[in-house]
Amino acid sequence: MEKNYNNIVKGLAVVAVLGLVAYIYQLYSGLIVTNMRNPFSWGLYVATWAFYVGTAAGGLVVSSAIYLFNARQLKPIARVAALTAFLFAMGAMIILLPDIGRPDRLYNMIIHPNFKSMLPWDFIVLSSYAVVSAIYTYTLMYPDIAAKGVKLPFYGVVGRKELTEEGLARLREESDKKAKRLAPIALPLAILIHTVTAWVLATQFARSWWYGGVLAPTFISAALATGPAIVILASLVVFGYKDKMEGTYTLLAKVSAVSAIIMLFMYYNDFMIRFWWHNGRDFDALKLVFTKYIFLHAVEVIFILLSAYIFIKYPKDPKKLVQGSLSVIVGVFAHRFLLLPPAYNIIPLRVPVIMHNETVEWSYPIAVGQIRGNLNNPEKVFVAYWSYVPSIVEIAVTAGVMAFLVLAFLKLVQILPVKEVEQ
Amino acid sequence: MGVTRRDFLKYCAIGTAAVAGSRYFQLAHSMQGDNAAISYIRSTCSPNCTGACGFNAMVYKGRIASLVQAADYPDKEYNPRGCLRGQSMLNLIYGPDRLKQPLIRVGKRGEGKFKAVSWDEALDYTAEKLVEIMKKYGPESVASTIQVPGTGYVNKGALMRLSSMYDWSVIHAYTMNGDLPAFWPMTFGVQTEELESLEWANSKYTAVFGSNIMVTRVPDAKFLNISRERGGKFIMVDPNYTPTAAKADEWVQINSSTDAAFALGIVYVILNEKLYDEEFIKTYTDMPLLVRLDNNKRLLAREVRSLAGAAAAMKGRIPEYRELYVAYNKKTKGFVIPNPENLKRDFDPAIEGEFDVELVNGKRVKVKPVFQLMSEFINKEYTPEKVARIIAPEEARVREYTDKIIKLGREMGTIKPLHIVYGASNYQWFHGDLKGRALSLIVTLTGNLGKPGAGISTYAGQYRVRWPLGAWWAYKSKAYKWLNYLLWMNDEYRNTEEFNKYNKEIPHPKNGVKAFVFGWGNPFDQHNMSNRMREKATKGELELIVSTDFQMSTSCLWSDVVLPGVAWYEKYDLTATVSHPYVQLQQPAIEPLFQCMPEIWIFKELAKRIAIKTENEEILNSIADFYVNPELFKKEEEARKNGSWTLKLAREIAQQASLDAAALMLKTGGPQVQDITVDMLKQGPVRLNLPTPNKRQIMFYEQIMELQPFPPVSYPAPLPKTARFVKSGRVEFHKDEDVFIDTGETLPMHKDPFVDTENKTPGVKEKYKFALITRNALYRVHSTHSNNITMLELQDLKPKVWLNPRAAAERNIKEGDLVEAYNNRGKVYGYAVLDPGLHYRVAIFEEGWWSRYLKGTSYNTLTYPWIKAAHLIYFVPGMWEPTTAWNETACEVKKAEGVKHA
Amino acid sequence: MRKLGMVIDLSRCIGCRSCAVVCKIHNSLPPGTWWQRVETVGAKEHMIPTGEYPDLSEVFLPIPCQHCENAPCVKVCPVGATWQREDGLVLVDYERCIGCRYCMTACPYGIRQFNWQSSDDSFKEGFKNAGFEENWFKDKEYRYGYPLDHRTKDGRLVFTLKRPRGIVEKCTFCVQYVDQGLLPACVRGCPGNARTFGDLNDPNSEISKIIRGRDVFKLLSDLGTEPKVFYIPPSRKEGKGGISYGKKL
Ligand SMILES: Nc1nc2c(c(=O)[nH]1)N[C@H]1C(S)=C(S)[C@@H](COP(=O)(O)OP(=O)(O)OC[C@H]3O[C@@H](n4cnc5c(=O)[nH]c(N)nc54)[C@H](O)[C@@H]3O)O[C@H]1N2
Ligand SMILES: Nc1nc2c(c(=O)[nH]1)N[C@H]1C(S)=C(S)[C@@H](COP(=O)(O)OP(=O)(O)OC[C@H]3O[C@@H](n4cnc5c(=O)[nH]c(N)nc54)[C@H](O)[C@@H]3O)O[C@H]1N2
Ligand code: SF4
Ligand code: SF4
Ligand code: SF4
Ligand code: SF4
Ligand code: SF4
Ligand SMILES: [Mo]
Repeated sequence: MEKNYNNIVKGLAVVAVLGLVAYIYQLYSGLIVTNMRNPFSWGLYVATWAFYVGTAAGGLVVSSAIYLFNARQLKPIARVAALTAFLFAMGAMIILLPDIGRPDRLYNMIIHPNFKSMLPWDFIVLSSYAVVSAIYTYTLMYPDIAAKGVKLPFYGVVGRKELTEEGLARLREESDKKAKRLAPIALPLAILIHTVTAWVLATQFARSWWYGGVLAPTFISAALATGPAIVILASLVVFGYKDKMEGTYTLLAKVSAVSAIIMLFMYYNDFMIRFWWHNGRDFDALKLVFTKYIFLHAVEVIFILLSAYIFIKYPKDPKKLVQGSLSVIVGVFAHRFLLLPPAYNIIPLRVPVIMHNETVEWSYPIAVGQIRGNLNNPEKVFVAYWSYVPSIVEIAVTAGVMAFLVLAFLKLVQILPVKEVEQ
Repeated sequence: MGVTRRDFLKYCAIGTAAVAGSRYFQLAHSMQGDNAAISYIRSTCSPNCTGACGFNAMVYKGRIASLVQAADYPDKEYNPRGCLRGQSMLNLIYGPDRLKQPLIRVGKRGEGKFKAVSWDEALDYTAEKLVEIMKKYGPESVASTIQVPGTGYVNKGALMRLSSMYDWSVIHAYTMNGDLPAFWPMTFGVQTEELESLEWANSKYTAVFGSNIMVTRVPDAKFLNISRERGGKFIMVDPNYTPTAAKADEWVQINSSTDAAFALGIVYVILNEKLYDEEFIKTYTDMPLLVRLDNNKRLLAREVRSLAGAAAAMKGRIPEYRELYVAYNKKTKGFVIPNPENLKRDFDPAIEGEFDVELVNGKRVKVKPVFQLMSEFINKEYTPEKVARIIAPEEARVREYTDKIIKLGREMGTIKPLHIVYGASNYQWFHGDLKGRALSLIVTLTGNLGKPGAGISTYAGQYRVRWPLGAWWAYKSKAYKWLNYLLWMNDEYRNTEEFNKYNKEIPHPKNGVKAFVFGWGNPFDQHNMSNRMREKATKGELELIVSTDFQMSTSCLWSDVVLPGVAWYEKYDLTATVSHPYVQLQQPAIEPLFQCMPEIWIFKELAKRIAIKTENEEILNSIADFYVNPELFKKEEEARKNGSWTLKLAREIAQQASLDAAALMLKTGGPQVQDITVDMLKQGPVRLNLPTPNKRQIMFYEQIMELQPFPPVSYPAPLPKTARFVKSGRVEFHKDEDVFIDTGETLPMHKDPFVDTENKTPGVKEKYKFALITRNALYRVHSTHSNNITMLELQDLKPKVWLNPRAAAERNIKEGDLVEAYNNRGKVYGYAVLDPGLHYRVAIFEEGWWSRYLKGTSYNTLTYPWIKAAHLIYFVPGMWEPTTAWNETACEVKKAEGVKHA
Repeated sequence: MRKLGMVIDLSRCIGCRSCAVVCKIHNSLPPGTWWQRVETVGAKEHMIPTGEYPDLSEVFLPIPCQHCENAPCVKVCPVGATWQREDGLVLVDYERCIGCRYCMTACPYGIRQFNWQSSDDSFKEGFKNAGFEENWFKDKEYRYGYPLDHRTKDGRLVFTLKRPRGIVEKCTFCVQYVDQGLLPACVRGCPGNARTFGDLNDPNSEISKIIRGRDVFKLLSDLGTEPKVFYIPPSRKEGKGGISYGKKL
């Protein structure tokens, strides 16, 4: 077990280091090493960002629900949930770094924010969320920190206070009280990060795949599907499956399953509307999903449905819980990725061309940004379609960030008193 | 936008500066940069297109940063001139293929292995070899050629000066290119004529026959649009839909090379509906002249018993190149001799009817006026139905085409001024001359000559010499020897009976061509017919190949010596084009790059070194006169002797010598350039002194308005050389030299393509279904800009083969497939483009790709040096001599197989 | 205050792409990057007709930045690196852009171009891929384009030959020339005389007169971006396949 764990940590460390190397390589060569180009200017990083925002939300929703809706079953995992919230909020911000052409100039976000743009808002809500979830986590853990301290590597134990039993009980009470007060801030923030993130995309009328009111609710439901799944996984790592946490897991599983179904409902509801009119950019975006991207679409639908099925059917089987969680993660990740191709590959500037008895929408091609190919195998400079597949570098960087997050989680749960002291 | 918004913006601006700190404030002061460091020099873009567009080179720190259209033409409508190629010329001047220094071949021919050498070594080596060849085979075995004189009278003149100095053979590039529209000398006795493009706007009807103006005349194309905006009509006759067709009111798709039939169908309507200008044709054309029915020759005045005396008397008063013909005067009811030297008419000739005439020998023969013969012929052969059958792309559309011909005939017969543009690609067919003669008939019958916006124009490269240049081009007025390119390429034809029967005047070096010296051209791509250039090089038949270019073209790769010249932003030169009648200067905006030298210097050095090596006392004594000012020559020699010679000094001297040569040509150029000086040209373009109102370039103005005889002079040929083409002094539609009678081409007529050429080889007709039309590309001027990276980008780096979708489907070819166009002579690769506007039996490849881009193939391996007998009977270089027919090429297209992709 | 705009007459436009090339050279765009494109509407290749034989048509549509009055790219830029100047020019501050490419996503016209690598690298790669033996200009220090940096009055860098990597760039209406009282390069260089540039707020400017006197339309006008580039529709001819360009004004 221990050996296994160590191997996993080592493996993750290797992936994280590779990711870092890949990022340095990207910094050195420019974003040319990604497979994004002018006609398709956001890719895996942005998809992952949207995904992380989703997963981040789940954490605080879970822990705040304890206090807001008195979902006591969730109490035992509150700290783990809050910790994942913090980590994924950080992850969401970190994964945007490699997407930025000039990370050295990020300070401009602070000195020249443009509040008409959704990005500064997203930055604000995300960082607030990260801060709040950090405070939340701290608040929940404080009594135990005070009791036992935190053992930092190379440094030793810190934060330990001499406490009496009553003192500790009082601290526990206080922490509960504070958490109760934080919950009404945390939950709306959790909702907000999705909403704002969705707005980053949904406000873009140039991109009919995103444009409109349905994206934010879909984002939230997607978040409520993945968030609990992440918490389930995290809790299983920390606590393992204990019978007395059965209720906790069942509740999480149900929340995820119901959200997943709601999400699919909203998704298909949007499809229906696009489909019915049977024409125009909205429809063509949909058509793309069912033609060129049918495989990816199948993945999202099948895995999300599968997870819902598993969660509802076997909420008490730890193995199935893991399967269910992984399956919703895969499904929602595919869903996130699918945000991009129909948005970019329906070129906004289309001109209707009247043929004999029909009108054909012709997409105005865009310069790729590079001369590709060679004399023996020339490739187009202006394209109206870009088959985006993430490059090795993008995959490595993304995997690196993911590995880093997991590592951080594993390390933190070792250091921090994430387990509630059994009373 | 109210004040609030403005204030808001201001507020933002202040906020920005405050936040970012003082750095921005400092920079704000130096906002415009140091504009003073930029200077502009005017020069003229002049590759082998008719553009000659004025550009200001934006020079910064000794390099050209950008090019800005000069837009300084006094006729404002011309501004701006320029195009995508001219704008990106910098990619060639500074590009990776730019030559740096002289090269001598070390590898095999065409392999591209060279050693870089000093100028002295290169020039001495070249001179040595040339002298050897001149001694061994005679000086005429050295052939030289320059492309399109109009783009550089000074530097191109220098090679001509050198050629005349040593009696080399000169190849006239105009016929080499196929740019000569042979109908011009046949019909009007001139090399060519045309409207300046500004005049297009004055036409009320423009009929374009296979000239892709929107692509091949980019800076002029707007005048067609303007003509439409002013209510003019514009139709495009072309087998293929083109951007020009897109702009036209009507596109008439016809079968390849059936324009003559179409034109004669139009003439049929004009004749039958009496839409012709009878007075006009009586005065200016041979329509009233009588033709003997017994021998199909025009009746000569001296043959007619009643006129022989008068003819003899007149003979002494007319130049030797004229002939006296006969018309029937309706006023006096007798025969009359129209004066070939004056078109003023005091008689009323019959243009119809049949007459009996008694000859000096007592024989009576029947005669008919040309008009009568022509009418009979056309009424018989070219009824709209018959024509429709020839030209309509589909059997099912014959009716529609019949109606169309009638409709268009009426339009062309009535709407004036009518202007016909006869495209180069259209006349670059074996029977291109017949098509031109038929089209000329339309404008002539309707009196559309000599007036603004009227006429027939052909526009090829910028070719036509606008005034006498001999003072510079011919060394001490020495005449050149000449050589016809096709007769050089087509050895076997020179042994045929046909050739020996008709050839009267065309010279050919007795030992063949042993050395080839050329500049401003890329013959190993552009003129490599049936691979013959390359074969002559590989087999060693050519012993020396010398090229001058500013970049490493395919032809440079095939050369033994490459002498690096310069482009038009590095030298002085004089240019003149046909699309607008402005004389312009090329001026050095920068020093020549690397060791490149203005060509005038290169050829001067060769002249000198050859003189020394041949020990030709006479030339040696006067060699300093190679430069107009011998002092300059001596100055450089002096510097060499005392060791103060530098490349820079040689350049300065060469630039001055160029200006001197330009000044000399202007001074000795006669009335067209009278009072035009180099200093004026340094300021900007100056219009030629044309003898028309507002100096507009209108064709045959003096003939039509002042009744002067045809033809006007075609420079540089003296009038007697060209006037013999139209001995009657009139526009001639009936040609009676033997060859025309033998081929049945006395009158304009239609002959199907390929019948007299490709299809004579058994099996070809069945095997090769397409006509391969190698039209000109938007992205190149011929092969120039082939390697322009910006142009390559716009084409996705792909040479293409355009095919009709149906034809492609039959061959299982899909959009984007790599295909091979081939025939029994050669092949070329390209990527298939399916074009619904393409004729079903046409494959298009846009010429001009360097072989490097064609996986080593060459489009010109498919073409053939066809020679038409009618082109042999006279020889005036560049005016009447065999000319190339690029499009007379049958081919088939298939998917390319076994071609390396990666 | 001036509001600068452009009119492109599609009847006049011959599709020669000179404007695109002029733009490229003057603004020093590396291979692969185009601030302006000219394509044949509806066609797979430039200058191939659309429609069905024999009813064919070919319409060329040049697209520079539309300098939208209600510019989505300005709205989305998180750091105000893209902004609209008082005279209506939508510009990018080369020193502030963080390269997030939000603006590229926002622009409905496909105008914006990202520097995926340094432009030196784009040139090198371009030359290499295009089959040149050497991957640079023969004159090693050469680079085409207006040679001087250009800043707006408040000091923002809006043109430089040495473009930073990792930022977005686009048509500036040739701010470096317009600020000197010159016309944009593509307007000066259009041999078809199809382009007019000037002050939309001045009723006597040539451009205002054209817009008043002729049918003009704007691209994607239903999006409400309010472009300041106007188009005169191509003249329709009888019996030809036509092309519809959206709403007329
Ligand atoms: N961009 C550019 N401009 C150039 C040049 C260049 O290389 N590039 N070269 C210059 C020079 S030197 C020349 S000679 C001219 C040539 O210029 P053009 O005379 O315009 O020649 P092309 O472009 O070859 O062909 C024009 C059209 O002729 C049509 N055609 C071919 N055969 C026939 C036929 O039998 N009948 C009819 N009716 N049409 C036919 C073709 O389909 C094509 O559309 O262009 C000059 N201008
Ligand atoms: N199959 C086929 N072949 C054709 C044609 C066709 O339609 N079909 N068209 C024919 C026609 S019409 C023509 S006009 C010819 C054109 O054929 P060419 O005239 O041979 O072709 P260009 O590419 O114009 O060659 C010009 C060369 O001169 C160089 N050059 C330019 N300026 C200067 C200068 O100032 N100094 C020096 N030293 N060099 C300079 C350029 O770099 C280039 O290599 O091609 C003919 N070939
Ligand atoms: S290539 Fe010809 S048309 Fe283009 S700018 Fe030069 S001279 Fe003018
Ligand atoms: S330069 Fe003028 S004519 Fe040519 S494509 Fe551009 S707008 Fe059209
Ligand atoms: S066209 Fe695009 S880049 Fe230009 S202003 Fe409008 S949105 Fe911005
Ligand atoms: S890429 Fe630059 S200009 Fe575009 S939105 Fe981001 S910061 Fe603004
Ligand atoms: S205005 Fe200037 S920057 Fe914009 S497309 Fe025209 S040339 Fe390019
Ligand atoms: Mo030509």
